[in-house]
Amino acid sequence: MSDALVLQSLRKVYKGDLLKKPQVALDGLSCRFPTGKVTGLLGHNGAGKTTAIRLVLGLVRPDQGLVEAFGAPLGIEARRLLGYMPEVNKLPAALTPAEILTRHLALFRPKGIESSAQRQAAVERSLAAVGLAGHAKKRIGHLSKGMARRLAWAQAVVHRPELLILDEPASGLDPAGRREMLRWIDEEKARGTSIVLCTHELSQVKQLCDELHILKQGRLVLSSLPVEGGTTGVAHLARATRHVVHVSGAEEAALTKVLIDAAGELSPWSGLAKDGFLSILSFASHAQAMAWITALTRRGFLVVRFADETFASDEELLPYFTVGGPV
Amino acid sequence: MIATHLRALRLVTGETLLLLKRDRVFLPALFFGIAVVLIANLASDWSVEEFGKILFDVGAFGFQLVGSAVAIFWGVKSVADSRQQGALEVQLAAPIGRAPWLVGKFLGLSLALSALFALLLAVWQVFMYLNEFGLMTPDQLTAFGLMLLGWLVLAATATMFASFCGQAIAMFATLSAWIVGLASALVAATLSKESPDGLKLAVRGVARLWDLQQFLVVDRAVSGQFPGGMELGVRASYGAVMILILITVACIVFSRRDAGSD
Repeated sequence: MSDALVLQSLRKVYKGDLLKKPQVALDGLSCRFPTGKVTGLLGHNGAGKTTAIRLVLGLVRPDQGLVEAFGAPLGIEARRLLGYMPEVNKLPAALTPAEILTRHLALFRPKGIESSAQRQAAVERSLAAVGLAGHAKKRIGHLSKGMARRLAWAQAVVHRPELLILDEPASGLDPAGRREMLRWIDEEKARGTSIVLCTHELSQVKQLCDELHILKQGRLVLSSLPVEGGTTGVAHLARATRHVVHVSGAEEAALTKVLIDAAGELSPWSGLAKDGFLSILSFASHAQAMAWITALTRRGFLVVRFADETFASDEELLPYFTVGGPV
Repeated sequence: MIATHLRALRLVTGETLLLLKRDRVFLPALFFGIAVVLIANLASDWSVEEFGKILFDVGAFGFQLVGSAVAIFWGVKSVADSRQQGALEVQLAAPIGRAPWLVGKFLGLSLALSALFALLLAVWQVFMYLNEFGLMTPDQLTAFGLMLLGWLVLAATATMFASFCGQAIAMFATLSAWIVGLASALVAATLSKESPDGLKLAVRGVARLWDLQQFLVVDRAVSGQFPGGMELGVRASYGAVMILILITVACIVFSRRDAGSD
């Protein structure tokens, strides 16, 4: 299967002026994003993630290198295949959600949504899916931050893109909104959409990503995918599969007591962590996790998510997020 | 590909027009325009000069002031807002070229200015009628039309500066260009014989290239010295060529630069 997106030897230097020195944002970045998978693009602040995304979107011109999507150079027509959700809400405040989505569809003209009646139906469906059906004619400037994020998501996917680029999609959302956002990403993944997920949150990466690239100072330093011959300085990220169960709203003491009580009849858990309202339990095998889900549900706990995660622990990844760490 | 560009052009034009229509400048500009017409009326009443001449002079001055100020403000705002608030990032990530985006912005701006012009002209006509001047003559209408062309030249200047400068710099640069354009021909005509040749050459060169007085002929429409068809054609062509040059430069620069928030 071909790659959804390939970045080849990308170099970008932001030219300086009298007050600013030239800044190397990307220094020969080569990486690929497989079709139908969620690939995380991570890195410390200033690592080059945003520049890489802007290059893909055609907002920034590379000094050197090439961007290909689905085997062809990424030009204006090929951008029909892309969906983009920026980190910060960037929609004109004076327009309404219905206007934004209608114009977006008119611009992209996806197959099956070409007439204005089809567009209107698609807009209504899309707004209903993100819980904004009652706000279709409200000015975007009057929407809450969470609502604006939902609209940004709707805009990113309403034209059914084949490649979705998400820049910190859950940023600014409350815990319920974050969970919903992760569910939507899961649904897009299930639909076969290739996703580039740019985030700082390791918990999201572990929940969602099939593959992972970590940038540092404009270069790829860690990747779960084999790198091209000739590319040096890229460590390989080994997979360490673990099976995680997310329990919502549980008191830590009560959960720990139940875990200890049940440990006699079930094999022990291998990790317990907190992420907001969520308690995240990890297990060594899929079967163990399933047995624990049954036990926890029977005891009245709300199990909201189960996933097989494939990446290393935070401790292994964190050094790559500091400027002075391993390269 | 051409169909894609044309569709994008139409959508950006429509969106810009809608955004400007919802902008809070529209109503204040209209109220200010009405106020100027009222002031023109008062000034004509108090003046010892011919009533009609003063009415037209003050009215045309107010008309020109409001239109030019709004053209500069909207021209800078419509592009710089998109750049600085980041909407440009999302819009250019869609299948849309940079040049159609910028041209669409200018066309939307031109339509919004034309709508404002039509409104102000309607207000002006009502006052003229109330002062027993009847309907405007074709010469007077043509003179106001030429003034609209001047606004569009300023709007193109503002669009060009906003396509590669921040909002404040673009505003300052366009205001400066406006003042230079209004003054260039007057300064060139009043240079003394003793002025250095180099200065005369420079000032006359600027006046020949950038002369916004070309679009102000309302006073001549009132005094009966209205320019002939040939002269009007030259002035209108000058405006059209200036717009073409300014927007072409803007498109070239905008297409070569990195886009996104400043």
